Amino acid sequence: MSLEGSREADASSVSTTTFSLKGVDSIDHSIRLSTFYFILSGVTWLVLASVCALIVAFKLVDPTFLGAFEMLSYGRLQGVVKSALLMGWISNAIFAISLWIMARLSAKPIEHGGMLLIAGIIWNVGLTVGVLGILIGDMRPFAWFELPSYASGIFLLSYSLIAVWAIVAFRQRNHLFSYVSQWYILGALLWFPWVYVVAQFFLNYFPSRGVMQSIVHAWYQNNVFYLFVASIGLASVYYIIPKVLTVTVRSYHLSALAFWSFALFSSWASFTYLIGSPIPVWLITTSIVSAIALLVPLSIFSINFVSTLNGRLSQTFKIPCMRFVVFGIGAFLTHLILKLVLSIRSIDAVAHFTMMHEGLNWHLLYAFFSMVAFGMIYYLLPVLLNEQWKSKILLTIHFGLSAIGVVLLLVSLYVGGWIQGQQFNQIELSFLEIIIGLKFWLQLQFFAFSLIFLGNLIFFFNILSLFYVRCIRIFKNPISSQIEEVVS
Amino acid sequence: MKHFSLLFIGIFSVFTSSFLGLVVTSQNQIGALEPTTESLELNDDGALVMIDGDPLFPQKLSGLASQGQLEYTKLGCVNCHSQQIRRDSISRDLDRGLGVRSSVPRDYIFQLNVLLGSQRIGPDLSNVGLRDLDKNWHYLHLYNPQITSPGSVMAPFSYLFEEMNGEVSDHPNALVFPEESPYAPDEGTIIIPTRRAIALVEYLLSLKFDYNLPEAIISKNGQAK
Repeated sequence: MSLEGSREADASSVSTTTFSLKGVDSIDHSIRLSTFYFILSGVTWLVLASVCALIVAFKLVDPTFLGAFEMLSYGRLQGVVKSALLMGWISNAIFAISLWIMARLSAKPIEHGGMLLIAGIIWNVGLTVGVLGILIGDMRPFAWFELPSYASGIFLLSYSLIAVWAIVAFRQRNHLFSYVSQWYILGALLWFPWVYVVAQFFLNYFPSRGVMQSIVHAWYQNNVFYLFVASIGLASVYYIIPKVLTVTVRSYHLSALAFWSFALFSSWASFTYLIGSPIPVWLITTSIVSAIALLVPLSIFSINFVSTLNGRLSQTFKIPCMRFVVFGIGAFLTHLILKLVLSIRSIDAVAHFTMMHEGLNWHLLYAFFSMVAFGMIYYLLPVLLNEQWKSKILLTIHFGLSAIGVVLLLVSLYVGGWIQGQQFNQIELSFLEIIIGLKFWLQLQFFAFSLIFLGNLIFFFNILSLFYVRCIRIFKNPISSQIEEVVS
Repeated sequence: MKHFSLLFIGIFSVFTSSFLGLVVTSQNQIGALEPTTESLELNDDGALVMIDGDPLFPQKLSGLASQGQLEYTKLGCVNCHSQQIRRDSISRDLDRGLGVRSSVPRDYIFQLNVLLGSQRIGPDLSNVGLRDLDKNWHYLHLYNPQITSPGSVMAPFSYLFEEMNGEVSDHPNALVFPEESPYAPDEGTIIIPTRRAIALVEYLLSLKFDYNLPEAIISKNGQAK
């Protein structure tokens, strides 16, 4: 165990907890298997999602590609991409990261690690059933909520078995204070099931009347993106910066204000995607006001992160896992700015119904969350398995491919989308002429997805190789593995 | 432990405020809309009431069109096509001829799945039934969009059609291809739509907001493009 690993230094250095090597080891041991399982299954879903995203992107370049197969049609594969990304990769990564951070910061082992593993298996079975359901046509027509309703019960069961242990660890923590990372995790783990249950009730079990469905759907999507995904992303950032760089986060005392204002305003800004839609106008106006109010948490995040990293950037970039995190922070701040700008009515009049909305989604889910999660996993796996990454070069290549890929993707979606919106408002141009004019941007999108796919493959390979190294070591050194078994 | 309770209360309040403030309030406002006559009249007490004997709008979809809507959902058409017309003051939807009036919540009350959509990779379909396109055009377009719209990025849905031996005149629904179309089948074989394609086209042709509602009066004359 490295010195760094045994020192729990979160943001407020005032309260640095130190505890024995044995304590850290028992914490790690309690979640080693389940964390590894979550990461491995998350990465598998990520690879599947990026293969499907690649096919979908190619279908926009050549619509006849695989056109004879109903199962692989554009509409269904889009559903698979979104479900595999959100409920497969992102959720599994969230379970791995949040359980680990919660256990470490609470200085408490997670109890019932075996139960976690079973719950994780149930989760992935549920998702597999759901994805197969989408392929055979049981898809729901709500973006990021396509999974058929018969899969949702399985999710709720397994989710409660997973999340409860993180909350228990927090309640039983060894000290009185709490860290902001823990706040974000606690919030995310509680918000997600509430929001998910509401969406299930209003959309699947007892579908509400008319556009109430669209309202609940927009509310669900927005809350899952910000209160669940972005919260865990922020928790990781608040955890890993002080931990790896051994510095304190600047103006840490403001982060409590950022937490509450971010949660409140981002949740109330649910309907910026529905500007102009046939829903009550006060919903839209409230959302625009809340989106502008996101300036408050946005400025605090900037102070917290940018001023902490300021002057340390070159040092930070030498640490492979921190490159991902720094990229993610940049992506998050730009995402919030864009969300705010695009919710202004006159700008939305151009951007609405264009690829720019899809751009905002990928910006948050991939450029921010996934990149931070990559960094977090690259940091925690070696500590957890007591191994080193075999080849730093592969980590660098992964970073390069993902970073360039996602930047190109966002450029294609934002610039292409803006052109699309401008041309849409020139009424002498027909839909057909507009979409033919977008050819270059759709090709760029395909190229970007190819880079992202390659990056994800390397990520998958990196994780497998680390696992392989560990297996070899245990195999060669049976005594130490026997000791571990006795300890367990 | 005090910390946990406080945090929990805060986290719960954020959720509750958003749920009550946004979801429950709008459910109260528009969650139980009923169909209405095209215009209202004043009764003796000075209240606005529906006119007796006038037809009610919106009307329910026919059985076949409902099946078509299910196909629309199952094929994921909503990924590329929206079904909503924005107001004239904030958009050029009406100038573009996507419809004759903007859409309002009441238009959607009978839809099993509301398919507003958020992307317009393809055109808006809320008034596709008003456009001057016949069944054969829709069948050809679904069978292979390149026949009717060269350069389109829409996927072909040829699996909704069957090939069989015969002459076009033998079958009422057989696809009539344009002269010398490279996509036409060989001599002696014809392409006919399956029941799914028939339902889907029936649904598409039923899509039109061509009636007035008290809160949405038709503002554009003439046919939608």
